[in-house]
Amino acid sequence: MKPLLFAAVFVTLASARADYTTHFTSPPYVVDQTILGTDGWNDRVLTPTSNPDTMRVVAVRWNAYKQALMMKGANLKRPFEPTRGDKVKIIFDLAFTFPDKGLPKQFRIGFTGAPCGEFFMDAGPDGGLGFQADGSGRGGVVALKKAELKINAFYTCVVAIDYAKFTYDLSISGEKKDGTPFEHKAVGVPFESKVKSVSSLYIIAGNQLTAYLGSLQVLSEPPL
Amino acid sequence: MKPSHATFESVLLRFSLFSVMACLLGLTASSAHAQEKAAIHIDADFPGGNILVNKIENDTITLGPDQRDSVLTWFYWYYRVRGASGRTLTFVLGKDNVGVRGPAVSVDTGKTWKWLGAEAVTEGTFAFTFPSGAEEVRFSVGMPYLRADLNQCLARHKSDPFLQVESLTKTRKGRDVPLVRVRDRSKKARYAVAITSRHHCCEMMASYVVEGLLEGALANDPAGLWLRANADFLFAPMMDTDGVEDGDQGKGRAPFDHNRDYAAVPPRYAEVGALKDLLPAWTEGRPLVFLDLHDPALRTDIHETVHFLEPEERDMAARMDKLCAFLERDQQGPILYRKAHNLRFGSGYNTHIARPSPLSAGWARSLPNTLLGCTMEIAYANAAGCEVNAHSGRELGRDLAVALMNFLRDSPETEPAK
Repeated sequence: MKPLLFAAVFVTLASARADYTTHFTSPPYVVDQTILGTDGWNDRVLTPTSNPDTMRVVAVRWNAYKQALMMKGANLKRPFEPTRGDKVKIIFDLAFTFPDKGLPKQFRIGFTGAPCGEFFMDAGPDGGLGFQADGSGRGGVVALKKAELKINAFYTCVVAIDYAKFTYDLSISGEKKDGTPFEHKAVGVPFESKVKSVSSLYIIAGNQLTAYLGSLQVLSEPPL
Repeated sequence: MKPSHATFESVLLRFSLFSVMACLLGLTASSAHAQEKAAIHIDADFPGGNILVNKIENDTITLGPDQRDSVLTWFYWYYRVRGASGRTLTFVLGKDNVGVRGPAVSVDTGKTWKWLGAEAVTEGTFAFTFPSGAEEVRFSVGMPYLRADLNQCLARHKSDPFLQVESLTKTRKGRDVPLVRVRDRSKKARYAVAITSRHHCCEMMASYVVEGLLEGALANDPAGLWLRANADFLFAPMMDTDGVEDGDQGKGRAPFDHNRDYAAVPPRYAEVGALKDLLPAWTEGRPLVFLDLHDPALRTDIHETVHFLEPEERDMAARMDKLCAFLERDQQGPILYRKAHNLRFGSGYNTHIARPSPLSAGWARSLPNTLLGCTMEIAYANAAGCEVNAHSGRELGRDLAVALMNFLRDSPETEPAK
């Protein structure tokens, strides 16, 4: 029995190594403090107007005081060891507070080497929560329109990349404004890329909305 | 848009005409057409009610706010319709009397409210299809908050040892003016925080923020714990209690309203006199933060924001700026407050220079131990693109509690009063 259990644990650990996982909990994160300088998070581009107060770790009142990264005009990057193996899974939770009217692409999160493009929150008239923006803030697919997006509620985004097959699966799930469940799925989306790993992430958040990153996992799944 | 001023005489004339028309027409739909379908009853005979029915023509009802003793033409109204199940009626209120997200509608006798939506309104006229079986639907310019709503909030916390409910005084009509304290009775806190609202009784959206702040002070979260350890709270949430319950405008009462009474000797209104007596004694010289919460006008520009009115005094202005910086930085509610929306002293309608100040916040600033005294305005329906409603208002109050904690914790005036 014991050798079997050991083998099962070994296989599980080997097949899904945690390359980078955070729930922004303490330590190393400190609630009500800037995330800059903690756990490898830094300014994406340092500008004279960079304000550490625009990217803070907070206990989220509307989410049972669980810690999250709150952004209001943030500009962040977080490098990590490149993923290994042909399969990579990225999982993260996003939430937003936003006005009726706003500018496009007020929030963008991208993963270097991931073929799914940027996930974004577009606060413009036809905007919403989407993905596949081109890395310069343009384009993309709106998965959930802004009018249906629930304010202050986390949406879970999952991307499963298969660098061997050159396809990825993607899902965004959560609850709509009217309380009904929401799920958007894209399966077997083809891509072309010479890069076969995910090695960093960046976030660009405008100040027209508040964005929350609740948790984040980037997982390698090396072949057995 | 700021409603236009009117002379007292013209308002009285209008009031009389409305009253006569309402009497002639009755508060019941009387057209043959309506009687064929069903008798529609429109009235305001309940706490907070206010309406004048001018005309009922088939399914179109023309109505307006009852100005009562206000010399400033204002826009508060709150009525109910009964006997309209399954029908579609059109209500003509006039464009100055309906806010930017339309009227607020309640299908549960005023317990909960929703905005009907801007798209439902054209030039102050909206149609409403009454749900089949609905015995009663209520409509208002905002989301009415009455003594019963406050009581419901207080009942949720009745066993809380930090909560104390008292009466500030009696109104002219014999009602108790609620006074709510939040404090740890086992110790003397370093700071005193006084919160007032409904000096203008119609400004109900401010009450949701007050309720949120009250619950923030009582909360068992880091902000609530810190605040109770360091501050005594005194809430006077319905300074014009008679007006709230009677459904008055309250704004621009003749000869002056509750928030223009703080320089009068003696004060015209018992509530104001009682607060002026109580507050200085209650603070016992401790550093005081005094916030008076209001709602502005219905639409355009600054009126569609949450904003603070900057005090004339530079030290107070700097402290207000600090409080607002914390609020903007730490807020987590659905309303996105922006410090840039604050109204600087000398701009817009923030120009009161009379001394002694007839305003509550101005009077509070004249007390020697006041750290900060200022007015906060909460938009009726639209705060820079964010919906103001009962939930978002309460959450703004929770955010304000956090900002107060950070403000006091970071205050250089941390020495307890001698």
